[in-house]
Amino acid sequence: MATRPAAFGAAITGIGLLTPAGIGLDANWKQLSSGVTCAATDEALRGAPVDFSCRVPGFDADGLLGGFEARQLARFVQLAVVAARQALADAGLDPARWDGGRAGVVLGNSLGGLSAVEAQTEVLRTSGARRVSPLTIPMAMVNMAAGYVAIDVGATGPSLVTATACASGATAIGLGRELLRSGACDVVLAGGTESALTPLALAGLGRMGALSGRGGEPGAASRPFDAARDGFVAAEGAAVLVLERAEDAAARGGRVHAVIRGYGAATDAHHATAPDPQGRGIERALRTALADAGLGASAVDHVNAHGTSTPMGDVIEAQVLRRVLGARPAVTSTKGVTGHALAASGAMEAAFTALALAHRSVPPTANLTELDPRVELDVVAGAPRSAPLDVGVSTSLGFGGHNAALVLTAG
Amino acid sequence: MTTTQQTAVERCISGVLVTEFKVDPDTVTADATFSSLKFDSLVLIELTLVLEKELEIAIPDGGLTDDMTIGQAAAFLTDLGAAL
Repeated sequence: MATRPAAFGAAITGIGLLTPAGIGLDANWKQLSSGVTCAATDEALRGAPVDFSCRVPGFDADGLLGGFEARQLARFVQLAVVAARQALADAGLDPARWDGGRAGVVLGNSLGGLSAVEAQTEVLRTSGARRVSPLTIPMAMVNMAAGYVAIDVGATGPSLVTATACASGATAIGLGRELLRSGACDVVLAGGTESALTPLALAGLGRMGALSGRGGEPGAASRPFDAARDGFVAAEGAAVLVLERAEDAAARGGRVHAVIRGYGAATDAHHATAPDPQGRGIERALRTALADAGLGASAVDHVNAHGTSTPMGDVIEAQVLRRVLGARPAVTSTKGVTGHALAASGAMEAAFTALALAHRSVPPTANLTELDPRVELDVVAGAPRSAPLDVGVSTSLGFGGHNAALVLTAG
Repeated sequence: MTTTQQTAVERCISGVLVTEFKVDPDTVTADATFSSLKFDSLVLIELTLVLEKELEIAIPDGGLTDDMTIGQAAAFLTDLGAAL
């Protein structure tokens, strides 16, 4: 076995967040700490079998990006661009003054500009090919999230979009850290974005049996680890982290929210959409991340679990967490508040883990009133729990059998 | 010479630029070129599609170019038989 270099730390020096819990760090932390879900009836889904979701509240793309530019960008790109700007501002970095060739962008996305595809498919059907917008493909392509963020901030180093379904955001952060470790970049904007709350997407997810069917009570629908859970609530959002080598961040004197200390990835190779019944993929990802961080399982104080609120997924993940980490860590699933923002979720939750370490507080899992007896974990419910938190873990699992785990340490 | 019809077409173009494409109204003048308004080839095709509907004409692909001013575009579209 190859010898492992000392654990590499990628400091999170800036965070941009546009999630159903709010826009910006303060709004997000306040909503997460309240433990109140964001799920609500969604007018855009009126008449659909599942007509509720978690949207980013009050997102004014025209005001933030300018109407001319905003109308050319799919919403998942709009969210990513604003999150990236927020993250850079939070880090105190001015793109006008950096060496863009040393700056990279790695963002996760899954469904791209699905709404543009749906709208233009209708145009093609009703009006013919000549009426189809030439922006259809640029708006549909998943890579445009990284491509347009790079344009916006003048990052001319490596850029890419990771597509590991609901693990995409975590994968992006893990790979972003590798760009720092390899020396390819000095600054990386890493995160995830998703906005695909369309009737087609919801119909497809619903027909898979993945979504909660609590149409009459959307506020109670997202309830990770609860005995009465019945599926997830689809959400949108974006989270972007500014990553720098820990020593560079220290030399610059910038604030460090937390440090990405370990990353692990593994694949189930089992089924297109069903997780491995024993959770072997996420277990290997988690053990790899801990080894990468040079930390033992007993060091972990807090877990922001993937916990989507599906009947099967939550139990499989809980059993892995118990098997690897024991019962000591304070576990939460912030998806109770935010819903499941698919490819953005891993990045959002890495950011939430960083905020939990910084605030020394674990936000509660919304709607958790009766813990599923098969979940033998210390899941925080009802109110935030204050505790000394040094090490946090964020887990992500995606359709396709993709698994990713991040280990964070306090800044 | 600018005809009444051409002036009406120019007003239509300007209106579409502001309302549909969210261009800053202060920058929309007869002398402004599409490139100065940040229109690239893709957005010009979108503009073509919108104007075809508004003016009830067929505009050939590539008919609107980025070096064209709004005034020149109005003249071009008037010659094509733009109806207002």
